[in-house]
Formats: sequence, C-alpha cells, structure tokens
Amino acid sequence: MSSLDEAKAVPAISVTDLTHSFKGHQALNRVSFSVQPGTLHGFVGPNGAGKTTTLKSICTLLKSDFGEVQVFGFNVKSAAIAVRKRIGFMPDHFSMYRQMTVFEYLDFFAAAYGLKLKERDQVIHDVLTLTDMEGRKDDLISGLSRGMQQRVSLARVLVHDPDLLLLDEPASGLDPRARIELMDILRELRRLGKTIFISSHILSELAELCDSVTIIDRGEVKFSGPMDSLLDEEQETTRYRLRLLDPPDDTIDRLNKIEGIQQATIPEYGSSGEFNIELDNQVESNSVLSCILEMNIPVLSFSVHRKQLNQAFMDLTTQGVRS
Amino acid sequence: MIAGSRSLFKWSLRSDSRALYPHIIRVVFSVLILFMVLAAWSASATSTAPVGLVLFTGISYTNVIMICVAGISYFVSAVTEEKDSGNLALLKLAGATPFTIVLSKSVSRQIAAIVLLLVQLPFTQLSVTLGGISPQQVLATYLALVGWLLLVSNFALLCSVICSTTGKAAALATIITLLFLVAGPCFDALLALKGTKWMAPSFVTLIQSLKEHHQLLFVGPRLQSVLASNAQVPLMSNQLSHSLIGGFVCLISSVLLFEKFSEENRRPEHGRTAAVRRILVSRCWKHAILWKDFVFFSGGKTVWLVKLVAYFCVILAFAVYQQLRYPTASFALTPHTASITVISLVLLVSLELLMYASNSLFLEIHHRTASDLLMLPTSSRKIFQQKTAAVFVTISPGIIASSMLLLTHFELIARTGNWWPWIVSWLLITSFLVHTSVLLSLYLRWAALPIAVLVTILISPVLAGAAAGTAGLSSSTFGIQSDSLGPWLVAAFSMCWMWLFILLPIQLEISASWKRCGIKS
Repeated sequence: MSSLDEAKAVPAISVTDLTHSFKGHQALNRVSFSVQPGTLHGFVGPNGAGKTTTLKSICTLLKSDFGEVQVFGFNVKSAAIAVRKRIGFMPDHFSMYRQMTVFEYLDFFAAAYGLKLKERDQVIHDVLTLTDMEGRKDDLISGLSRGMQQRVSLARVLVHDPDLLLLDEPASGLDPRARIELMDILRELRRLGKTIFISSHILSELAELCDSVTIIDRGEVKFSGPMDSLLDEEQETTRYRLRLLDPPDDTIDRLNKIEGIQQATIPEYGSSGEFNIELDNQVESNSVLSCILEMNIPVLSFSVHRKQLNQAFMDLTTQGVRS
Repeated sequence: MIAGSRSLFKWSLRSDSRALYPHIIRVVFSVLILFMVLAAWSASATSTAPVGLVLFTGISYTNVIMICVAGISYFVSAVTEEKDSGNLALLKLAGATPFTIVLSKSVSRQIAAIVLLLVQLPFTQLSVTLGGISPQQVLATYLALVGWLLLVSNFALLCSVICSTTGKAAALATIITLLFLVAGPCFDALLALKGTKWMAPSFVTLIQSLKEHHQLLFVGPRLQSVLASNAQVPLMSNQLSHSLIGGFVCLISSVLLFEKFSEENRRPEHGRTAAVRRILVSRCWKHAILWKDFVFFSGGKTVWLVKLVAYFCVILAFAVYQQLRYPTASFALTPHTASITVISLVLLVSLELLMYASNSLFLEIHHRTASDLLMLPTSSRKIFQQKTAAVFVTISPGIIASSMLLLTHFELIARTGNWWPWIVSWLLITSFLVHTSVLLSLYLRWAALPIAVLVTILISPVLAGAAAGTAGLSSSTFGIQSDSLGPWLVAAFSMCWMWLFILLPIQLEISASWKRCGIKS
C-alpha cells in the first residue's frame, strides 16, 4: 500500500463511543461515526441533539467523559496541539475582534498559527480572494454585514491551510444570496481537497452538497453513511407523485381501488391536484398509469418521488426537541 | 412609556435577584463588616478612641471607596452592555424610549447598591451600642453616602451613554474619578502658593471657588464633619443637596444625549484612513496575542507615547510646584517631594495594572473570542504569558518614569525613612489584588474589580501579619541585619510563600475557569 493510500485509509475524523454528560444530563451517548478525507460530511439533528458538543469534542475544546476521537489518526486528548494545527473550527456565533480591520484580523490569526511575515501576505491574499473579500480588507469588521463577517470568519479558519474544516451552522442567519455564495465556496474548498464537516439545519442544501451524512438525535447517532444510501433505502414500496388537472372530490377513493396501488394519499405540503401513490415493488407502474388514464381525468405528470433528506430526517428524529 | 420603563425595570430587578453573585457580594460585604468589628475591638486595646466610632469610621470610608470603584466598574456598563451585545437597537425597535432605557437600566443598579448599604444597618446599630457614635450621626452619614452614590452612579451612567463600549466608558469614568479625588489636594497645593508673584488674585479666587464646589460635592469633608461632631448633627447638608442636583443633571444629560451617542458607526474605513491606520497599527508581531492586546485593548503605540509623556509631565509638575513653593537655585527634587512623586507614580501604575489585568481575560469572554484563542496550537500557559507581557508593555511608560525617578533619587528617598515594609506590603497586596480581580473577572463581569478590592481589604491584615511574621522569622533565623541584604531576602521570601500558598492556587483556578469559559463560548 503506498503512503498516499495509507493517508487515505486513515479517516479524517473517527469518533468511537463518545459519551458526555453535563451536570447529570446525558448530552452524548456512545456516539460513533467516521468521516473520510476529502469528503463533505453533513451533521444534522434537532436542537439539543448534541451536535455542538460533538463538534467541540472533535476540535479539542471539550474533554469527553468516555470514548475516543481521532483526527487524521491523532487523539484529540493526547495530541491536542497536533490536531489544532490540522483543523479549522468555525463556531455558530460571530466571535470576532470587531475593532480590527479584515486584514488585521487575518494577520493576527496567521501570526498566531506561526506563519512568517512573508508567507502571511500571500496567504491572506489567497483566502480573501477565495472568499471574495479582497476589496474589503481595510474595512473594520464592525462595519461589515453578517454575511461578510461570516466570510471573514471562514477566511480566518483557512489561514493556516487546515486539512479539516469544522463548521457549526455556517449558514445560519444569512440571506439566500449569501447562503448560496457560501455553498459555492464550500464546493470550491472540497475541490481543493479539504475535508469539510458541516453542521447545519438547512437540509435541502446539505442534500445537494454532502457526500455523506450523520443524523444525531438525543445524543445518539440515528444514521451515518453516504447520502445516497440514506435517500435510497431499500423499501417494499415505491412512492410516486401524480398530478391531475381538476380532479373530482372522490379521486382519492377511486385511486385506492386500482389494483397494485397500496395506498394513495394527499401530500401534506403538495399543491392542488397532487397525490402520493405507493406501489408494490413487484407491480408495473405502466399498468397502474393505464388504469389512472382510464379514469378520464387529465394527467399532468406521474413520476417517482425520491425520498428527500428532510423526510429521512423527520423519519429518524420523530421525537422532537429534547425537553 | 411608563409601562415600558416598568417592564424593563422589573426585568432588571428580577435578573439581579435571581442571579447568585449579587447575593454573594452582599454576604461578602456582611463578612467584611464583621471583620471590621473584630478590627475595631482589637484596636480598642491600644487606642483611647471609642470602639463604636472606630468601627463606624472604618465602615463609612470603606463605603466611599466601594462606591468609587463600583462607579468605574459596575455602573458604567448600564447602557454600554446593551451596546456591546448589540441589543440597543432591539430595545429601540421594541418601543423603548431613551428615558425608559436610561432610567430602567440605572435605577435597578442603584437600588441594588442601596440594598448593599442597607445590609449594613444592623451592624451600625452595633457601633452605636459600642459607643462614640449616635443614631443621628449614623443616619446623617448614610444620607451623605446615598447622595454620593447617586452622584457617582449617574455620572457613570453619563459615561456609559457617551461611550461606545464598556471599556471606553470605564476608562473615561476612571480618569475623571481620579481627577476628582486628587482635585482637593491639588487645590490646597495651589492655594499654598498664594502670595507668590505669578498667582494673580483672580486665579486665586477661581481656585477658591472651585475648591468650595469640590468640597460641596465630595463626601469626604461631610463625613469628617459628621464623625467629628456631637450627637445632634443635622441630617440634611449642602453635600447631599449638591450631590442630588449633580446626579440629576447627569441623569437628564444622559437622556438628552442618548440618541446622539447610540447611533452605530457602520461606515467602513477606506483610502487614506486605512493607510494611516496601517502605520499606527503596524503588522502583527511574532507574539500575536501580545500584539493584539497591546494594540487593541490598550491603544497601541500612540497611547503608549501619550502615557510616557504624561508620566514625565507628572514628575515635571511636582518639580515646578516645588520650585514655586520653595524657590531654590536648582530644579532638583527635595527628598520629601521625590518620595511623594514616586508614591504618586507607583499608585498610578498600580491602578493601571489592575485595570488592564482585570480586563485581559474578561474581554475575551465578553466578546466570545476565548474559544478562538483556545483553538490556537499553543498551550494556555503560553497564552497567559503573552497576555501578562501585554499588560506589562502597556504599563511600561509608568514603570519607566518611576524607575528613572527612583534610580536618580534613590539616596534621597532612602533618607526619608525605612521603606522596606511598605515595598513588601505593596508587592504582596498588589499581587493578590491583580490575581483576585483576574479570577473574579471570569465570573462576575464588570463587578469583579470592586469585589477584588473588597476581598483584598478583608485579607490585607492577614497578609500584612504573615509578611511581618516572615520578616521576623527570617531575621531571627538567618541573623539578617537591616543594613545588609536582609530587606531583599525578606521581600523575596515573602513573595515566595505568597506565590506558593496563595497565588499559585489562584493561578491554577484561573487556568481551569478560563478553559471552562472557552468551552461555554
């Protein structure tokens, strides 16, 4: 096995049986998952699920009660300094020295990570270009909008060229435009070979962006693996979405009488004339469509309805917010 | 408007009563008074003064100091804490008027402080029982203290309204409070020059008028007259009425100036301003945390130079005054003036040290940047070392000025008396005070400094006793003579035991608390 293969074989993050409690309150209960290098891994869960606690354990801030966390093979407890050199952590709040300019802020962190003066200029130029903040480098941080402060925060975690980025709710509080731009930056960083571990509530964007995902609820991992395996889980039925033009009131009863349709329902958030139809996997969808056409109601569309991340999330975390 | 004020006021009072720390402060204050009872009782063995009067005098002057310290640390954050957290705009959006915000934020703190004075009343009755003081005098003293409290708190409120951050407000309030406290001796010193050729009669009249106003506002002279008077002292005084008027003027000014100074400055700096800033700020040093603290917490090179000039101006002012008062052929300082100048400089440097040290870690937690520092690939010990170095760089103008004066006038100052006990006591008390204020700043927000002063007052007799014991022990054990290396050894020995048994445990607790705060942020 070559050294490159060996490096790839070591997970970027390896969490094993991580357990932590605060004043008798179990925040994490034997949490285990791993993240492969060069991937973009989503970390989702309801409020109070234990996301930030896990993130703080990975980034060496929090010493867990039990379990092991390794980052690129380094134990976060025994080799904290080595881990910190290889990670960049962006917390879920704006913790910035607001009286500094953007350049001064990045210069400070670059120096704090041990970069020499000559290197710093180039690095700061690069991260500002990547985050599209070059034109604002002499602005005071206190005068920047929230979206721009988020970019500066991202630029800050990149100054020491970390291999792993830990982002806690990076898109929270951003307007749609700033959010889309942030996602573009994350895609670019993945292209550059960074491993990105992102905790977020914006599930639709995570589904598009992430290679793998971990879903956590009440301190326990409910799912961890590739995004595709979460969305295309083996099931006995296939869900279709049917759209009809001006369906009469008894349409749902008529659909449920068609042979092969296991269940027809009106979707909770669908538009007018839409129906969810579940078919047994053995049934030919064409024969069912023929039967629907025989109902003499104009069919606008009939397509496989793929499971969405938010549906998977809701299925796995049905118990709501922890009290 | 009234409903809004009432809601904000209730909320402030509730949060104060639910918080644990204000109650701890009250308990500590009660313990302090109990301690004073013991001190007065022990003093009665060697003094002819009535025990009750000794006890009550101690309590009264401690209150004056506490109100001053609370003014520059607790009251100044009334409005700026909302500015710091960005909640001021939200309060305004919720329909709160400047009057509502100013009144609700300040009155709740004033009530908390007055409660702290009321806690002491049972003990003051004890001083009446012990003799030397009457209930009328107790009441007159507390009325004077309430007047002083309202003046200081409303003045601090005005600073809080004018300044954009709590740090700036605290700095402004500190400077003006210090100027006010030293104004009395300065006026006396200037009036002592009356009759010299450069003192014009109009200038003397002006100084006399200012002195009279100062005497009317300051609580010190009033306390002196109350404590020295007979039992039938009048309750109302000019000091009380002037303090109430002064406080009211500050309150109204705060309301009127609120809108003007609450606008957020969101204009970015560009062009020439940025170029000038590059020169002033310079590039980050190898020791990045030291650079950050020096430039952004303490003002950087410009403020450093201004302070250096100011410290030398203080020395010059003493020299000029001496020349005017006692004209001689040379400008050289007399032993007496040199001693007073060194003491003044050391006190100023100590105050600076205290202010910067207590803010050093606190501001990181307040701005939620502690986790950023903890995430750096360096140990907490190195972070503390850089922060300590930053504090010493910041106060270096004072150290340079006082060291130069001390080195050039060492022989003269040594002639004025035995300074070693004072030097050792100053070292012990300042070290303890700095460590305590840093530790408390991790828990108590802006109230850390007054509580640290309070704890130090409580513990300083213990420290002094231990230091005296150590000095005696080392003298007898090693046969040290006062004219040899003895004083140095005593100072070193005292610092060693102090560090080992008191400062080291505090340092360990600071380190642990700092990490906990970093995780929380």
